[in-house]
Amino acid sequence: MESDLQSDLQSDLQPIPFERDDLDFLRDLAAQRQIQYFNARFAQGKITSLSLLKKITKSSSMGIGKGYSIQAFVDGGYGFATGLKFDQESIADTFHNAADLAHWSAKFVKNKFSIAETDGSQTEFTISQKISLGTTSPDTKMTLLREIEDEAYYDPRIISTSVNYTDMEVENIIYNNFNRFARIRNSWVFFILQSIAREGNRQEGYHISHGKIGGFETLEEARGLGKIASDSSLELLNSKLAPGGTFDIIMDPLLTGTFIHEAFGHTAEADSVLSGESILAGKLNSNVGSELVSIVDNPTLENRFGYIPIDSEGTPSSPTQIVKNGELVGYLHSLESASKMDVAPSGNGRAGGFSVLPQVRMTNTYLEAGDSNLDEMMAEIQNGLLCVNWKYGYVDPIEGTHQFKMAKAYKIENGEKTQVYRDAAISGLTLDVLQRITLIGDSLDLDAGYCGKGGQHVPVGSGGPFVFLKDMVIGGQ
Amino acid sequence: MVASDSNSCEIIELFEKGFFEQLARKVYTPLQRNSDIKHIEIYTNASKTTKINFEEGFVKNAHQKKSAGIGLRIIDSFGREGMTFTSDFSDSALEMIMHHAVKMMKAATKNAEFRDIACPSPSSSYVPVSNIYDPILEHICPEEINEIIQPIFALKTREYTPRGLSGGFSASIGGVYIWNSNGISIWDKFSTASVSAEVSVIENNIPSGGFDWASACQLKDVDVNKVANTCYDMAIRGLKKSSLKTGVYPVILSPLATAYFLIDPLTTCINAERVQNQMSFLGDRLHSRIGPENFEIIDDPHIPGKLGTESFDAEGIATKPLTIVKDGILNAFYHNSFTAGKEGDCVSNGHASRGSYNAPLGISNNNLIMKPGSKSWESMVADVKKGVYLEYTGDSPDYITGDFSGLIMTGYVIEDGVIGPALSETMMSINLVEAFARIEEISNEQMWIDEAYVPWVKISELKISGRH
Repeated sequence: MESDLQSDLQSDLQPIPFERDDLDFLRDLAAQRQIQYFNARFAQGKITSLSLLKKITKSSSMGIGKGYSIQAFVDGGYGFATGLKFDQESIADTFHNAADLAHWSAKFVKNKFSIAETDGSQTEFTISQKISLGTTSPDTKMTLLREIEDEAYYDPRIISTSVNYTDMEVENIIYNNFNRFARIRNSWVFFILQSIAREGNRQEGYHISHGKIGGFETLEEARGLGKIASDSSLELLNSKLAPGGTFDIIMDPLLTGTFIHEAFGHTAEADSVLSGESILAGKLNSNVGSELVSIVDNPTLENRFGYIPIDSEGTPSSPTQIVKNGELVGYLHSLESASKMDVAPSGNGRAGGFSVLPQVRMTNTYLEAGDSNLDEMMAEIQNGLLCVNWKYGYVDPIEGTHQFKMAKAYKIENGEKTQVYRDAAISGLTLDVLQRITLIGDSLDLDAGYCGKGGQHVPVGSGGPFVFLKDMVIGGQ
Repeated sequence: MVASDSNSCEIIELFEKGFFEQLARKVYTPLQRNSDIKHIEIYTNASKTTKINFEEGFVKNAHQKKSAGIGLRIIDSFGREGMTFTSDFSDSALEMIMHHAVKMMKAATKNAEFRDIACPSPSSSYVPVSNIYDPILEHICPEEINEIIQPIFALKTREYTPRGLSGGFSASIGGVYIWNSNGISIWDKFSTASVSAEVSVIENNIPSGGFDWASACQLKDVDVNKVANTCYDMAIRGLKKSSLKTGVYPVILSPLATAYFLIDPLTTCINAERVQNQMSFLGDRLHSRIGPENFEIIDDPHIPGKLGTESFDAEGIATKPLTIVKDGILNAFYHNSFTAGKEGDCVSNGHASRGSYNAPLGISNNNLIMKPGSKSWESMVADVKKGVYLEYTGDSPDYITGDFSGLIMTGYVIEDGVIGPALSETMMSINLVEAFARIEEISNEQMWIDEAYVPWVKISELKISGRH
């Protein structure tokens, strides 16, 4: 118990002790059990979570875990089972469990189909860490967090702050019967800071987040965020409740990203298209937005939060053009959806951990830049809103409605930014809104976050440029 | 190939109190010899889930998932706390979490507001609760689940053929064991059966969706027929859409809306941790009027077979009924042992929560009973000349200010006392303090929505923003 911390940390994450040969017995089992496709996903990792409330540690925790799952497929039916022990007998038992469930599911499926085989190979990916998360002590991490939190208290009206920090180092092995054996060592940092300001009886809060793939060096980039969060919470002390009604608006890159992700990206996930639960069903190669609109999902952006070199089913990731000049040109695919639609899989079959099933998910999704600038957009507005950042958003893909709560907004009067508003929400019918985009900014930014779907959360990037929209419904007082 | 670790186990097969007691002993025995550590708490849990997902009205997949782990909290005499957890029960992993817990504790700031971890309640105060574990769910198999969800699949034969019909059924069993250095050693088992369904229909190019879900501790209490009918009816009703001119209207909240728009924010914001850190719009309203005289909510952890039923909380303290709102007056905040200690003489009222062995200590509610009123919900609707019937909004208020503005995801126009077409692109906004104050009528009927037993509620005035 008293051994050196650094050596202990390094020993926490010994490589998962499997090579391809160790797992090839699963292909024999698949053949015996007439399983057409399977993937086996092994994971082990370490998570460190630190949180502070008003400069006092609320939580200082570290966890280690390991486990695996097997997903088996036959004739359109899937079976899925998880296991805890990394030995051949347990893995074989888990395989049989998944195979039993797959054969059972196949009895009931609507349409039998096959998974189209993809090319596999042995690959290895390691996210580089300039400063290793594993060898950085919890004291060092806590010290930097406290420094960032301290920045928030530059004004006596700041009465409270909270900081939540998580870093993870995870090793995954993805093995399938399409000859894929991939070992991926990933690491990332995610951080949220909230600042609360009070003046008289008035109290306002603002939160800001920061997420990066890499090592501890990425937290260094978060210096200054405490002050930025407090700038906004103090500014909101002078805010008015947003007016309700219909306005011309400008969305900033962070809100644009949320809009593109929530309102449009989810409807472009081919599983919802196939199940009849997307407004984009049957609209491939048709116009879905103004000709200014081009949307991309790109998992290969290595410095972005949604980066994945290979998806959870073993398919190498690749960029997907979803909309080009207003025309819907592609969906996001898993192996299943690609097989059913007879296209190549895009590597978007992602699972939010080894113990859950892959789904079609976005990675880094953004609206491509146009050729306007913010000043030009402001000049177009007599009475409207500049909408900044977001708190949350969601979408009903069946009806194509969406809703985002923005972090703050400014009134635009005759092209000038004036009164700050709080608690404004933006809503609409997605395909209608995409037609209302009349100007797009000339530079884009991506934000980091976690996307929820079916109870799973995966890291994503989302973004775009400033965007001008006509006649949007705004919820306010 | 790695050799099997002799101390690992498939925990589900050893799903009993004795195993966890032995595991906890392996951890706390060496830690008790460390003079730097003043308090030790161990929280272990295990679960097994069998689930079927369906899509297009047919089975899509079946899975079985096992999960187990141990969480360790240690605290020194300066109030510094370190927490570690693992799903690996090998001796080497247990040694690692013990070692790192000390390191994490030393990285924490001193906390002068920490008083003590939970102390055991008097044995007579642990009220035995019934029907929270259904042994049928231990061995339920996919074939049985397939039979149970047939009423949902039968929607395929209804008048409007669903374009999409998806959802799932899951059956879980779980157990939790808590040990701490103040003498708590307590164990219980629980189970949950859940069904959810989502239906989409389309007519004249207008899509509409409906959804519903039900969860209960006992399989027999999950009403699959109701879920099927509710989501189908909601989808059909949504085919006719309308909007309202921006303005102020009376709003009737369905029980679902009462639970999620009104009660959930209230219980979130009486969390003492939020209150103590100025993050609650109700923080300075204890013992103040927040609603009309007939507004009353009781938190009751002992109702047999309900989702919020438990004999002890996540620190092992005995639970007890708590009156939250009485005669319109806010009566209590939820506490765990830390927030209670921070209040000085306040004793935890048994609302500690932990989502799992790997989650930090939090605070949550049990079963929530909102007192019924005197009028039927139909007559409440009949008395509205022009207004809104709110079924569901996916939005939440700003918990610091109480400001709410959100989308009416499922709601309908009320005109001349009749519920009419579904609202589209319509938003609503109000401050929650005003929403409580504007409770005008409460129905005499109640419904269970998850762990809340709630009525229909009329809010006299709410700002509605529509495209018209």
